[in-house]
Amino acid sequence: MSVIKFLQKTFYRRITNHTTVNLKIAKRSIQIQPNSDRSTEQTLINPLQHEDYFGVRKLVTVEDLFNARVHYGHKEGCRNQNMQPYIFGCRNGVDVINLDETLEHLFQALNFLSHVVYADGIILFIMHSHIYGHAVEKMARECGEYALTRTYYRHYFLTPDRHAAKLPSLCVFLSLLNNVNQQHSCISDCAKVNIPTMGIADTNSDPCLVTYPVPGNDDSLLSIELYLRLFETCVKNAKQKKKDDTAHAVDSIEKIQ
Amino acid sequence: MMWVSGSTCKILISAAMLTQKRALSTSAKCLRNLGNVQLRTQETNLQKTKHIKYSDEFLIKQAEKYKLNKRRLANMMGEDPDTYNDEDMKRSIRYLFPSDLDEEVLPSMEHPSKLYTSQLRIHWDENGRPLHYLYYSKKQNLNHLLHEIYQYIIDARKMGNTRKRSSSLKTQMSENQMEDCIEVDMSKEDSKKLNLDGTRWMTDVEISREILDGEAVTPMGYRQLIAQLGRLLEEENAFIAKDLIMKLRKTVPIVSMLGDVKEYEVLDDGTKCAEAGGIKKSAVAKVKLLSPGTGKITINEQPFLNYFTFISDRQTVLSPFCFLGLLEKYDVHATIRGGLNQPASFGSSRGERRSPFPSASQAAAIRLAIAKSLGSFLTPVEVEMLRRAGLLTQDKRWKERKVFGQHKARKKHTWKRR
Repeated sequence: MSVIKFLQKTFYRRITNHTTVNLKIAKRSIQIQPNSDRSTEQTLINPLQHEDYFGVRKLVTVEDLFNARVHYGHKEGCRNQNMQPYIFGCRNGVDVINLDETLEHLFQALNFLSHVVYADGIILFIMHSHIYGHAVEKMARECGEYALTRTYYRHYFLTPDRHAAKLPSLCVFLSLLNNVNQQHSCISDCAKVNIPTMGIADTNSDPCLVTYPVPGNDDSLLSIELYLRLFETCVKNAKQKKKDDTAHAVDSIEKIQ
Repeated sequence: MMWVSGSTCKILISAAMLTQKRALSTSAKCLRNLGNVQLRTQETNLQKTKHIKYSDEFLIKQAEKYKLNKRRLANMMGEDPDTYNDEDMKRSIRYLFPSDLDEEVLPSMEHPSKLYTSQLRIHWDENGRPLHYLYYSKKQNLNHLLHEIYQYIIDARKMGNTRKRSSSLKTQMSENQMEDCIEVDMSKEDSKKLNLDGTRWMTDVEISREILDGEAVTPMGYRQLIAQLGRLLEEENAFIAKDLIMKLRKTVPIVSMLGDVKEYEVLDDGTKCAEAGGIKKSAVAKVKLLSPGTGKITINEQPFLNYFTFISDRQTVLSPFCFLGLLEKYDVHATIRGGLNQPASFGSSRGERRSPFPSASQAAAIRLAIAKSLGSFLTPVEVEMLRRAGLLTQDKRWKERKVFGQHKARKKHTWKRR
């Protein structure tokens, strides 16, 4: 859990309108070093010392996002003021999301997700939607992680229960709104209990309380499928990397001995 | 607390309540050791026992103990331990501990999987990681069932859309999904039919007990489940989910009057005669049905049309025959006492007032008697039809008594503001 706390200190976002500035701060706080050789001196790998340990930047391009209709926002009247920095513009009364911002936020988010999975964290995928809930549950099951696509019992995370399973280490929201277009109550509950959150923020949702907001469309089938695919590959890759690294570490320790 | 002999006590050890050392700290008060004997007592302080949960290893051990104890009981009763049923076990426990008390209070021996419901079990591993992917929804088993049903709905729609792409959101398919289309074996036509006759959906209690491992089902959750299943049944290709659907259905036994239907007697002429009685309010009717007949009806040795002058009464009496299309095929000899017109049986004070018209209650009593006696000549299906039409149920309504402070049973005095 110390890894998570370290990450929270460095990445926890302060509520400002200048997201690009924040990202730079975040980047500076990571100790960026050139990829170290796997010499006998450094048998234990620290993935946090790498800028992109899981190769997340190779997974997606702006063109992929465009083809998946991630830039489609809602109508001008539905716009949430806090989404202003992420909106590229407005055409025919429909907001268009800035895909450059989306891409950068997405890389940060996927990187964080991979690190949490690498540290044996519990990921909870949340999407309160009748249409896409099934796909989310299926994806979570295949990853070996968890899903919540039904009613969320308010303050579930707030009541401490010694005789229950652990709370999730990271909550991934595929939509920040619930089925009645109100902000999902799990977001504030996670903030109260220090659980980092990650979420796809459409133009009508509020990204303030989310640690890693990703501006993007949450209503189109193609965009949801894209996100699910990305999350799945990240989780699986991170788990595979964990296996490989532990095997490699064991081998190298044995060699030394 | 019950005192029993030492040899039978070991049998009494319900495998469920032998708790492990880890749980002893909180449930030590549950167990009272009396020498060789471990008796089962219920910890009534729910606050203390609320958080006690049992692991899978514990359950496996309990299951093994249960098996052993079952065989011991069989040997004790002198029965074959290999073919020893749950029913045999119940019977032998009732024999060993006879009592007039309710079944819930008496000792029982149940398999640990029934005693340790989903709520009492540990659903996470040693690292605190949940075992079920829907753990955080709090209704993991029910939501998984809903997930499965929805998967079948999707598959059923895919099968219908192999040729053309539908534009609606729910049936929209991307390239990946097109590859997963299911092929149907068109040669097996019977497998396509889903016959739900004579079955009903399981109740929420049954589903919780038998399918969801004892996880509680709320009324809302049950409604959701039934609605989802309804949506599945609306699909053309719902037969792919046949196993799951039949698992959630229970047969409805046909309730008919076959038990009460007597066999007809054969008279000297060769005619068949069936007798039955019918009651409505104070009217008591006895009817003899003769077959083959010409549709002749006599009531108290009077012709039918003379006795019942009202058309409604005539219709009532003839309705069982009309319903089955057997109007002129039976002869009826009916005797009736009671109702408004005649004194009731055994000289009761009711019904001493005589009116020139026979009453509807008499007609209804005769109708019931005719329907019952007809049963002797009919197939069980036709008897079931009569029962479903309501012709075989006795109308138990009586006149409501007059209430003081009011005019009649319900009619109240005129309401005055002041």
